[in-house]
Amino acid sequence: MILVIGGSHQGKRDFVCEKYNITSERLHGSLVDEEGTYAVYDLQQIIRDNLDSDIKKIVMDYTESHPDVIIICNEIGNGLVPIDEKDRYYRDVTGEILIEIAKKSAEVWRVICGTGQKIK
Amino acid sequence: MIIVITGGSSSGKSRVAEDMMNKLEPGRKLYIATMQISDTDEDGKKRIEKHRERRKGSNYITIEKGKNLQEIGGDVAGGEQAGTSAEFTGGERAGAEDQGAGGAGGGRADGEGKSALLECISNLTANVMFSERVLSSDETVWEVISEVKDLSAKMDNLVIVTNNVFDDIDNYDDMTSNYVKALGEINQELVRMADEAYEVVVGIPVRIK
Repeated sequence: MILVIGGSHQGKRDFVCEKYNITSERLHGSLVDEEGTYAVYDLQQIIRDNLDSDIKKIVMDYTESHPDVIIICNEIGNGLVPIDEKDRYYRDVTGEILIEIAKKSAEVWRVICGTGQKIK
Repeated sequence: MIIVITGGSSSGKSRVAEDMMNKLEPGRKLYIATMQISDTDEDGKKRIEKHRERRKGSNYITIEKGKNLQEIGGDVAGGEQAGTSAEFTGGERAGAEDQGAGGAGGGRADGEGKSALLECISNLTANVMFSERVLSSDETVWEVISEVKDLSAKMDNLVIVTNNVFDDIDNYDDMTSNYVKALGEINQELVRMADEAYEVVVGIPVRIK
């Protein structure tokens, strides 16, 4: 597994296409079943849309059964603590999921201004 | 040795800080918790419980101190100082009493260094700034840095956890803007003081100094 994180609008998807030599058809905004090299992007949105379910388990089960996936996710923890309880939970659970994915990933990249920094 | 650890919310920075502290000092050391929560803050209680659970067995003596860090003694028995509350977070209670020092803080074994993990600067800054009267940004920076310098002078090893809150939409009210400005300046000064500094990203420490 490979994890690519970074702020919004930093060119993460373009980075992945170029780096891993895939076309944008191999990028998906949901937890799809696909063979070969492909990526799931906007993981933070998938998490946000499923906060009422056990999203941590859903994502971790998915990465378990799809070990070759490239996961793309926004970093959302670098701000002040939100007032809304659900927003706080959203940020925390996203952080926890990313830590788990990073542990299981062979590579972790952080993309800023379209440039990838390899942090693992 | 001073190490500064920064990172976003739920980035895994506490875990990294604890690991680094344990490597510097496997023996007994202080855990200085600056987070002050109200009785109704269930979120905060859960967070504290999670951290406590993880520190178990790592020889930490917890001191809850929202501000006025200069009141903490340099000795790992510092929990007995006036105005602080201390407790063991590890399964070390019996061991500490065996050393015969007694009291909540226990004694200091021979050969153990003076080490502390301070978590975290964002809470300390808020506690200092929003006290009896609201301090200005400059006053807050001065006070927080003085308190940390005072503490670091008493310690052989100090691991400091702070927070990266700076990549956010910037539509704060004046009070919040002042807080963010103060914390930013404090973080810069802390890293100037530090021997090493790391930003934790998805649980991975990325060295920045």
